[in-house]
Amino acid sequence: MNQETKPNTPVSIPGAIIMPYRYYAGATGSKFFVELRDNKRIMGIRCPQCNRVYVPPRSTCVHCFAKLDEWIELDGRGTLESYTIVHYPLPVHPLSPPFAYGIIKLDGADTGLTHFLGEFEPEELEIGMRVKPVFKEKREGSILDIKYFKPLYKNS
Amino acid sequence: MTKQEAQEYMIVPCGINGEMNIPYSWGAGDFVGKALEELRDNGKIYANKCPQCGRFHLPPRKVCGRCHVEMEGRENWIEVGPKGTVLMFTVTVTPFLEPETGKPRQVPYTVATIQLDGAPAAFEHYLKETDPEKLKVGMRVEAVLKPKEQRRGDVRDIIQFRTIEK
Amino acid sequence: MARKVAIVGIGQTEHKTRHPECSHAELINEAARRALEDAQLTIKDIDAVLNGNMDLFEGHNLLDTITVDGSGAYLKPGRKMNTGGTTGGTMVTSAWYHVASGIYDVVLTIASEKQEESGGNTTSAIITCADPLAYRPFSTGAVGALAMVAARYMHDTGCGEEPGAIARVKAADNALKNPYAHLKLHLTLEDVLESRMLIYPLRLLHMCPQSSGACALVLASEEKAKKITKKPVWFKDHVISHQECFKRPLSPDPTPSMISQTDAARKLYQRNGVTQPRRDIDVFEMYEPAAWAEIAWMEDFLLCERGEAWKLVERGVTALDGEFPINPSGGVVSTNSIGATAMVRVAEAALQIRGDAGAHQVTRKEPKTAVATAFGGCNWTIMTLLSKNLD
Repeated sequence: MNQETKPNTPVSIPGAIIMPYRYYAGATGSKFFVELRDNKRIMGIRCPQCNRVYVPPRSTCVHCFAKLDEWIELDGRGTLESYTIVHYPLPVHPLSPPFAYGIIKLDGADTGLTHFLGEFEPEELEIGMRVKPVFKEKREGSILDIKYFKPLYKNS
Repeated sequence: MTKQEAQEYMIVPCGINGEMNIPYSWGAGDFVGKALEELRDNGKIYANKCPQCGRFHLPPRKVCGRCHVEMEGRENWIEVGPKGTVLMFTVTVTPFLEPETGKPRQVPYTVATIQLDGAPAAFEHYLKETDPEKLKVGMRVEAVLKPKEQRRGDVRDIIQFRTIEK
Repeated sequence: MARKVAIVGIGQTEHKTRHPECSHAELINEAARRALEDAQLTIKDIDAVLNGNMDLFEGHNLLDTITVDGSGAYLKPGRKMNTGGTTGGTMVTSAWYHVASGIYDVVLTIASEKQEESGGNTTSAIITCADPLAYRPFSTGAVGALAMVAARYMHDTGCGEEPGAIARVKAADNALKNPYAHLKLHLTLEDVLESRMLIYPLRLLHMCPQSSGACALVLASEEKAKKITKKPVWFKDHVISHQECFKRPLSPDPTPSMISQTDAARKLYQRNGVTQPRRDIDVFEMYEPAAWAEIAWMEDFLLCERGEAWKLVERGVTALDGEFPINPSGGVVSTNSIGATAMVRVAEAALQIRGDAGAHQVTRKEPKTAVATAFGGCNWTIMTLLSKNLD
């Protein structure tokens, strides 16, 4: 009779968690996305106490806990604070490699915006470089209505 | 922003596909792995008994949940079933989503807690019968296994439990 | 030696099916602001912020990665916790530890759920709590487990379907008087007895809804509490008791009795001189995800003898104006923003003691002691005892 308490080969049960979701942007978030979709405008929101401008906008200042509702339009140009280029493929990656994304500090904002970078040669990318957004033709009200940020000196 | 403005701006976001799809693989460990191997290769169901408090565990485990005693060795293992008695049951008629596939489950289906013959250890599984009129606490059932070549070493190697006469 | 701690601020959002006007961070911000306002404090007065929800329900791993602006936790101590259905209770007791330890004086604790974001899919998320090796294919989440409790209770007592309907109508009547409750239904016994069969023997109306909402409390040390408010609600005691997962293959006990509830009740009553619970406790806010659970668990909580609970319910003993009101708020069967629910039980119990529950205030006798319970799919229990008086 088998006296073993260990299997001959380790047993593993494969499975998955597959569940649909839907997130609400809320009133503040919705205004930001609607402006991207309808007007190709990037909107920020300013804190009345500390004057910090948040983009994407939110309804409470992280530093002051003040309620925020002072909207300002940003022209979209910004400075690249940092970036990376992804070289390896994974099913969960948003794009096929190689692709680049970075943190962009838009003129007039106090926060960083993460987004893809496009229309550049790898050796052209550098921290401190000036960039501007390229919008998609067909927009849905999503952060991806901006296709990517490109170097400022590249003509439209 | 006023409530009215908020209403005007209300949209359902947002670009990114709202589906989580994450593959996993769960290791069974030694005892449960061996129990599943016995089910797959020999069609046998095992429980084990704590030498200190006498409590049974199904599937077998290394440490007793109540008294923390380690239960090394096969001598505490006891074969149970394939027949058993239904302690509780419920018939699901609402097609909840199966998290493994993201798709609705086939309904109706009956899940029951079954005490398998041989040890007072309870086991949860499907019953073949889905008519609540024909189900009752205390009824006798028997495991229906997949043919050996289809068994994978998984609790679903038992397809379900069918009703048997006393 | 633990310091004395009181609830000095209570805040709650209205619980609804959907809150599309706000993101999750904004939802918890609403509750946080209301609690601070109730305590007449600002975020600067708060020494630590705790935040809880059941992450998988929104498909967001570790919610505090995106809610620090809403909770006010920026550059403050505190932590994020998720303990399933007991999350609200964990947030309350954890806040208690923070203050009772002497390390923090005033703590804000928040619990929430934005269930619409799972598309009404919470059962699927709860199924993922089940052991993938032995139970996940069969689990029908909390609904299935509760259905088995109901089936067993009806079988053991032979009480028929009516008591479940009476309990449900009682909850609906109370919810109509609670401005924060989710389901405000005018129900008759026939409505309940004829509602659609969901998962035998539970009918649609027996089960709790899927709500979105948040709750927040401000807790303070004895010294601070006395300065902050004239109506502190004191934490007398709490007991946490674990049992094994409700997923039966791993459980020692094949019956559906909630041993951890009985264990917690026994310890709580013994430590606090409760010898006749229905006399010594004035209000009981029970976490009951289904109308039948309220009945079966009255016995598990040692509120009456085995086989007697359904008779008390039939006699109206547990109604708002009854001798022993259970869930004057309308209970979980009227409102279930899962992460928040166990905290809502404490908040509602506290409102009763303060005399601030408005239309759903218990008036038959002035509540001086209240118990709130927490239940979760992993099957552990938290019982909290609140008191009007410090001694």
